[in-house]
Amino acid sequence: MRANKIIMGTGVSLDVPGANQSLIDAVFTRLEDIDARFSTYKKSSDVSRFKTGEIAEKDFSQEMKQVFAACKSAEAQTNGYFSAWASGSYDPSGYVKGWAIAEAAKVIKKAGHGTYCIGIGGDILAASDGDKVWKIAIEDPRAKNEILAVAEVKNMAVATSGNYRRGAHIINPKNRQPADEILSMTVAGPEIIDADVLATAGFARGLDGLNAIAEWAKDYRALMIDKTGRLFMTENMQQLLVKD
Amino acid sequence: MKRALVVILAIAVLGILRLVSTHNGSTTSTDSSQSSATNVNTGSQTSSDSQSATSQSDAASAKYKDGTFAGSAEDTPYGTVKVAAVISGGKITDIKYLQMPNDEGHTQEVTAYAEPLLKQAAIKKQSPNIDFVSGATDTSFGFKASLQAALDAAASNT
Repeated sequence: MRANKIIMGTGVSLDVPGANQSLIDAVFTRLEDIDARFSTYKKSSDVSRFKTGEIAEKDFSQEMKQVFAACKSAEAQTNGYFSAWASGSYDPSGYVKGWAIAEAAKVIKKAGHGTYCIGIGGDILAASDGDKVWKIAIEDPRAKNEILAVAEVKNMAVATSGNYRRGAHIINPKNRQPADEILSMTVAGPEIIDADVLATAGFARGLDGLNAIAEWAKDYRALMIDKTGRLFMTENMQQLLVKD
Repeated sequence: MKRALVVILAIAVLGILRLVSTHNGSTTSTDSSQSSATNVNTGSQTSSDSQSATSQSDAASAKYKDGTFAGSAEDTPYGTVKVAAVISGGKITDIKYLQMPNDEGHTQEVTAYAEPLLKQAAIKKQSPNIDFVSGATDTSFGFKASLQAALDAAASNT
């Protein structure tokens, strides 16, 4: 069953073969719950209340603590190129997107489904415990209606970071400016949280992003497009993509 | 690097064409055609050639009245977004921007790039060969919500 809904200010898509409506509803509910706690656009969220000083770190829920700690680890893992503090105050949104996908997957797996595909805001998690092969297209940011390549995968996470409108720009934590060196960075690998963090950090890193990602996480694949439109990818990414 | 396919892109992740009003605001459909698509590289497909059950069920489920329907004005951190859906022959043929955040030159540059892509994707039919799309262009917080409202208005008039 396929379903789409707008949650967390973006498009959420689910494809769970054989699922019923109540599972789909449960997944959306979980995501709405995450949005209510973590959205920086909702004044009543835990994150917003933390930012205004209404609550302190000691008041954090278990999940808040988990995400907070994970953001610190992600910052260390990427030499600071991923940071939930890049804008000057705590904003875990870059981490929460990938984490939300992982949480949605937990709901699906708990219901007994091992084949599913979840997409939130351009990040994808594909899983197959049977014959299903998912076809994941990577958009070409240089050409409006074209696809760069297609990955045929059974189990893979794919995350893309790119130029966003102002306010959603990925900030380079090193200089606190919007990261501007490349057009987009796509990362594929086993875990969506890591792929998301690496895509964000790699994008912030800029032209050296591919090398950086290979250093930070050898088992991840990356593809980037620079501002002149040139495409670069790691060899293991090239192996993943379907050729003409 | 060669492009794998030149296909008509409807961003499956956004599922814009499936934003048909339901009671709880989400849309669902059975996966009868999607999961059987195991062929690879079957060449380019255009929306007009597509015989997939998916597009037929879209046409069957998306009963829009012809006309131009304004969506909601959505506040985003970057300004207000408001779109209108133009329906002709029961299908979305165009999406107009009634209000767009547009502050600095930098924003305009990115906006000018991202919005047409979203607009085109919203109009094109879904390619049956692609399950999901990963991209950085899922940028428009207010766009989808405003479009959803426009489509709800178009559907409710039938």
